[in-house]
Amino acid sequence: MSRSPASNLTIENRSFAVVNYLFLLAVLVAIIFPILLVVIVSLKTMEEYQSTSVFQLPQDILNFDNYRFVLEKANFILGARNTLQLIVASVSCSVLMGTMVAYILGRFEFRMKKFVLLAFLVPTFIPYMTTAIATFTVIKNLHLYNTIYAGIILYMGANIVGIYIFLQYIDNIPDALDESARIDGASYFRIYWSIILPQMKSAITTIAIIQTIGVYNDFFTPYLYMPKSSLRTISTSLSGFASDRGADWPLMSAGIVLVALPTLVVFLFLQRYIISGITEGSVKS
Amino acid sequence: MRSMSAGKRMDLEKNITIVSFLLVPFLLLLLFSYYPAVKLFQFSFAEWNGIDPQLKYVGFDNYAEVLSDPSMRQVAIHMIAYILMMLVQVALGLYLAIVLDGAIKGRKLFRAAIFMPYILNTVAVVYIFNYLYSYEHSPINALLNVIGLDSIRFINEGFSVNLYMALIGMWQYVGFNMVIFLAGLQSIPQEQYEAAKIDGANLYHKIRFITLPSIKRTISISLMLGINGALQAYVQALLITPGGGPNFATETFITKTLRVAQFYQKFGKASAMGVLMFLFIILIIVLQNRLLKERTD
Repeated sequence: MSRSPASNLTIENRSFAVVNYLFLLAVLVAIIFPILLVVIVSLKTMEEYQSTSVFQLPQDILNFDNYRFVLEKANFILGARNTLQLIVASVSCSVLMGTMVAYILGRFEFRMKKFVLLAFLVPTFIPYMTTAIATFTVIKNLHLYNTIYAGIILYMGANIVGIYIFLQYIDNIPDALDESARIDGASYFRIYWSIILPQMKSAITTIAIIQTIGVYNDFFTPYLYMPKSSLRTISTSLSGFASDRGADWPLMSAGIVLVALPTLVVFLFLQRYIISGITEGSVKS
Repeated sequence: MRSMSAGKRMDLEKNITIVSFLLVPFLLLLLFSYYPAVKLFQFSFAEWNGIDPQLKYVGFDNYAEVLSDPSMRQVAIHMIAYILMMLVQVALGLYLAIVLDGAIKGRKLFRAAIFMPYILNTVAVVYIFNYLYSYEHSPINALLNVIGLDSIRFINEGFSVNLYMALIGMWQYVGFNMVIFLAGLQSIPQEQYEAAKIDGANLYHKIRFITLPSIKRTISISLMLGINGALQAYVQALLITPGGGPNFATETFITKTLRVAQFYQKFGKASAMGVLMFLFIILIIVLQNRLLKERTD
């Protein structure tokens, strides 16, 4: 990002700049330290944990016994498989539907257009936790309760944020592309599939990453709609493990690190996509 | 004639495309957004245990029960803790954005590190704090002891436990506020600051008269999302104190609603709570928009 307008706001005044810097460092410590401390505990044995200070580094920095135990006993493998199924199914459906809705809204004029846009916009103002009681009965009546389809179907609905971002991209694709394809006899579906979709690769990547992280991190949906132990996700596996072993901090910490690691890695490599998607999504809509 | 029939065929294809592309997304929207909202409203006027096929309508009884329930007042007080923390979070996010918008050394690292908690698994974050909040082995207490202070009992029966719970949300989401404020700041034209500088404006003037008015919309969005999130906070309370904490000291609106539905099987009352929360959030958002608009005029 280029240096921006307000850039010199805070560095004109020297002493102010020093205070700001110290404060920033304090915030950085407050963010990094909790994570670091948990990593340290995760490499300690139970005896070591009880006898040494929380700030003391582990004796054996490569002691991965806790991780091994957690992977074998906590069923994280099952959780990972369920989470992966949820992500693959729901994110691909959601991207497909989001781009389809955006294609219709961006390329066609029809009578109910405003109404359609509004219909997708209004639910963002319905706080989703408050209607959970009723959603629960819908899931039950459709016989989806305690099946993986409950999660898939609840995650896959095309949300307005995605539609908005897709719409902006579609507006930037020249109409001439569509028209020349039309003259060559291509159907609308063909245009959507072979012209629009390929042009939206970066928007699709952004939305897919953000939704993947969202599904991976969600606790509420699996907790409420698929509580069966064979349907545990990564999130509910960790909370399940905590209710069995919550007091065993070396083991718990290993579980925490294992669960937190995947999105952290994704973030390190795909930071730009994530941040741009989140700003566009929240500010524009 | 031929061109007309070709035109008709095109219209038909257009209509078929529109309908078929919108059909499934629309059905999902109806089924999982609108229908539950309507159902919630219906349930809120009935007595229902979640199993009976028949609803027994009781008028406004559920609402009366919720509003006269003394434990609801307790929950409302807890939510104040979350709102307070949310306000601190938005202010801190704005401050961090202003500072990190500047040519400060290492700003990329700071930005990335501060945003990072946002993408971490919430359950993992909550348990990280559960570790920090343990009594005997808490690293925070260890630090306090080093500088000669007493240990804090984080999970207590008082109001403060809710502040500690809300702090978890702040730790995780302050980077989100920072990032959207940064986007807002970057849309302010440089010339405005330069003109102000020529006029002899100091830092305070610049922030008060240029920065803040320019990003009013972003502030409003942050507050809106913040209120929404704060009032629907539940995961930290649910995971750290599954039973609601000592004397239900950590109960939030959502954990209470879930308890009423799951544990007491009172779906009607829980639905009334959902409707009330829904109306409350809408009311606050409308009021806030009104206020911000008035200030512009």
